[in-house]
Amino acid sequence: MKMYRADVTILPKDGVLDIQGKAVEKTLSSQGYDAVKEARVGKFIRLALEAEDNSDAGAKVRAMTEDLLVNDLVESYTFTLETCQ
Amino acid sequence: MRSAIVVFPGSNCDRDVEKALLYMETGPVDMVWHDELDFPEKPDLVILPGGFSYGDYLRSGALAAKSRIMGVVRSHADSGGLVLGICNGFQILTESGILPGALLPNATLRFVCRPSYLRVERNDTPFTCSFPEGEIVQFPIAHHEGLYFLPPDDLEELEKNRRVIFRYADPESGEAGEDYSPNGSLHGIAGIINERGNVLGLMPHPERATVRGLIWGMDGRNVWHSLGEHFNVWEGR
Repeated sequence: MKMYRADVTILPKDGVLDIQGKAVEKTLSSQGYDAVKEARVGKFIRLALEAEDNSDAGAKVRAMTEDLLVNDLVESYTFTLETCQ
Repeated sequence: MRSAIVVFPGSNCDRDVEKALLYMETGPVDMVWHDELDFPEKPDLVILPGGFSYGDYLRSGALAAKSRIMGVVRSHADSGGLVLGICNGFQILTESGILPGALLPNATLRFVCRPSYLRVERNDTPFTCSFPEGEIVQFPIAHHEGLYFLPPDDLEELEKNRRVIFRYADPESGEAGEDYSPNGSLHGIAGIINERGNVLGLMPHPERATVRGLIWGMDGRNVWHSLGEHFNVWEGR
């Protein structure tokens, strides 16, 4: 077994009202940051987990994320994996 | 009618619901800790009360939806038993997939705590049979995540099947809908029922409008009255 670090990024799906993102975007614009066209506010979750190999770790992260970490009606996710000590 | 009220860590309306049921004399009430595997006695009605289970961590209701007791709550619902989720209880029902949709942060991004006016859209359910249809009632709300969301096609289906039971309304004109949502809820939805008609989730708190002498009025009594009538609690009295 090896130790892995998974960084899971969760964002509201397109088409789902992201009130926090809108508020951040509006405030950035009002501060003169005209370059900003959109802000989306989500979550970042770091997991340390044991797995046989990369594909086992990926499967475990996907299972955990879809079971609990995201509500797939309103959120989507991506993740990265790294081995760690 | 035997009621079971599930108590999660962070529930804060469990005692209010208990008081309301005892006040209405609907029958025995069991308080059931979320970590139990079963109810002490088979209930007729299961209530998931309001509050902030697990501090609303991750998403409101998401962690409570994985509690051990939810196994029997689900099988109770699957076998046609009545389940009522109020506020955080509604969020737990959507997070567990027992009811469709999701409750998102209020459009104002503020916690709202105030009276809310609702139109009773249907009175042919066990939860609403004592209300005149279309009646405007007042139950208070107190939440930060109360914006009911469902993708457009599913929302249309929900409306077509008349599964919206309570809708935010204007007390003067009696009109109801999104314009009267205190939280941006789509179509002004405050409460919905499942397809089979035995699971109701709503954001407003009928238990806070039940006991005489409180400032919130007593419109909530008819929810408990409906349930009591459904189970013939007061027959022969």
